[in-house]
Amino acid sequence: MNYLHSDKIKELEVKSDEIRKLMTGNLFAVEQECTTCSLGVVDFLTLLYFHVLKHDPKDPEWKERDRLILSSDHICLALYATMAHAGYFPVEKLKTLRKFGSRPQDYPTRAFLPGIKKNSGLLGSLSQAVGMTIADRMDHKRSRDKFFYCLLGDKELQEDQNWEAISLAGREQLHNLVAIIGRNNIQTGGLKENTIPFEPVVDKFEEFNWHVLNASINDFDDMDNAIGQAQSVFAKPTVIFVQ
Amino acid sequence: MSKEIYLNPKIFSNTEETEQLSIHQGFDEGLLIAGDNDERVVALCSDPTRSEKVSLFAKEYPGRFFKNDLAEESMFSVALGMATMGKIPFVLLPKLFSPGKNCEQIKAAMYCNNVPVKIIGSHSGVFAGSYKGTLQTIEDIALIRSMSQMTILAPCDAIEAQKATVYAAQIDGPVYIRFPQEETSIITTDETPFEIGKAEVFFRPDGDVDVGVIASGHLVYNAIRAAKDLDDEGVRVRVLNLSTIKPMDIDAVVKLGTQTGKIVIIEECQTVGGVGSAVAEVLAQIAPAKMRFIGACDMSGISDGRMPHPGIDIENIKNTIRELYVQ
Repeated sequence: MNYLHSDKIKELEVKSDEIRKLMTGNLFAVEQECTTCSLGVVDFLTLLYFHVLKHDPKDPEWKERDRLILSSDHICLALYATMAHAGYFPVEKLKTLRKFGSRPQDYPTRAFLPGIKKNSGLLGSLSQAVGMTIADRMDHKRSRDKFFYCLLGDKELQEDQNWEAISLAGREQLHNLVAIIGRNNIQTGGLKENTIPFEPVVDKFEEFNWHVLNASINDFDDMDNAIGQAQSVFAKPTVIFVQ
Repeated sequence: MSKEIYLNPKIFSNTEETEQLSIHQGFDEGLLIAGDNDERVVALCSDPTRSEKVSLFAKEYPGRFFKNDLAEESMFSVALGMATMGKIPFVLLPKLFSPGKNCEQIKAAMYCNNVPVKIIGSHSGVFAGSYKGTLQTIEDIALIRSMSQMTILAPCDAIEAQKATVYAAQIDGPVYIRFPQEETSIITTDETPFEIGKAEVFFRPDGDVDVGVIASGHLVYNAIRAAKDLDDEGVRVRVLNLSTIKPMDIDAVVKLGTQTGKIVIIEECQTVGGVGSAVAEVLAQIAPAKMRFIGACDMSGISDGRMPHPGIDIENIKNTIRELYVQ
C-alpha cells in the first residue's frame, strides 16, 4: 500500500463527494432507509476502493484481488455508488435500484453484479470471511499478498455466530483478516447500552488473540494508518473499531 | 431379484451372514476418491477424533482438512467463504445440529448462493449410535427439502454411499447426504448402477405387480427382504430404491404408481414432510394411488442402538403391505 500523501487525500475527498452525490441523486429517491448509515461509510469505501484494495474493475473475478466482505449490507447503497464510480458498472444503472434484474438490488446479489461474490441479507459474514481466509491459506500458506476486509456493525456482536468466528480466527492466527467494526452505540430499539451489553469488547478481542486498533472512519489519514498497521501484524487477525 | 443391477447375491442369506458395513465408511472412501479427482475438494469436521471422522481424507490431504470443533453455527458460513474462493467443501456435523441448529446458515450460505457446499448428515435417522432421543435427526428431510436448489441423497449402503459422495462432488450446487451411524447390510455391488436423480428397481423389475414399495436409505434392505417373503405368499411387490430424494425420479415413481395403484413408503425420518410427502406430492398430481407411510410418525427417535424402530422392521413392513394389498 502506498503512503497516503496530501495530494492523494485531496483526490479521495473529491471522489468521496462525488460518490455522495451519486447516492443522493440516484439512490435515495428509491430507498429512504439506512441512508445515514450509508453516507457514513462513503469515506471508508472511497479509501478502500481508490487506495487500499488490490482490485481491477475490468476483471472483477481476478483471483489475486483483495476481498471486501460487507456484513453490514444495509449500507449497500454506498457500496453500489462506490463500485459504479470505480467502474464496475455504469453510474446510470444506479437509477435501476431494486428493479428486477438490475445490478443494484435490495441487498448485494452476485447474479446481477460482477464483483459481488456472495449474496447477502442475513448477518454472519465474519464467519464467511474467516472461511475465505482459511481457503486462501490452504492455497498460499501464510502469504501477505492478499487481505480480507470485513465490515460489520457493533450490534452484530450480539449474535453468537460472530463469536464463534472471532474465536476461530484468533486460534488460526489469520494475519490477513481485518475486521472493521462500526461503533455508533445505537441500533433499532434504542441505545446499545440499553440492549445486550458487550463491553469490555476490546478485552474480549484481545483474549481471543486479536490485535485491536481504533480509528476515525471519516479521517482518511487515520484510517489508512490503522489499515497499514493491520497489514503488518504477525500471527493475529486485526479488528479496527471505528466511530 | 433384478439381475441387471448386480445386487449382492448374499442379500437373502440370514441377516447374520450378510456383510455389515458402516455407510459412513463408504462415504469416507468416496470422499478420498473425490479428493483424488479434484483438488478443490476440502473437508470441514467438528471433531475428527470422534465418530464423525473423515479419517481417510484427513490422513491423505491434511492441508485440505479443517477442524472447526463445536463452532457449529459458523461452520456452514465458513464453508461458504471457502466455496466463494473456489473450494468444494464437505461439511460434517453430527446429530440434530445439521440440519437443525444451523438452518439459517444453510439457507443463507448455501442455497441462496447456490455454492457447491456438501452437507453430510452422518447421524441421520433413528440408528444414530449413542446419539439418542433429542439428539437424533429425523426432521432433516422435511427441513432441507424445503430449500430450493438442494440435492438430497440417501444411499442404501456403504457401496452406494461411496458412489454418491464421488458424484456429489461433481454437482455445481449444494448437496445433502444423509446416512445412519450404525453398520447396515450390504445390498449393492461395485457393478450396481448409480446415478443422481435416478431411482432403480431393486426387486421384481419385470412382470405383474400388486403393490409398489418406495424405500430410502438403508431401509431398502428391509423392503427387499419383506418383498421376498411376501413373494412366497403370492403377493407381488416391486421395490424402488429412492436414493435421490430430490430431485426425484418422477418417471420411475409415476410408473410404479400407475402399475400398482398401491404404494408403501418406508423412510427413517418424520413422515411429516419426509420422503413419503415428497412422493405423495408427485403422485397426487399425476397418478393418484392408495398410500401407506412407514416411518417416524410424529414421534421422537427411540432407538437404543440395538432394537429396530418398531415401525420399520421387516415384520411390520410385511403387515403394512398385506393390509394395503387387500384394499
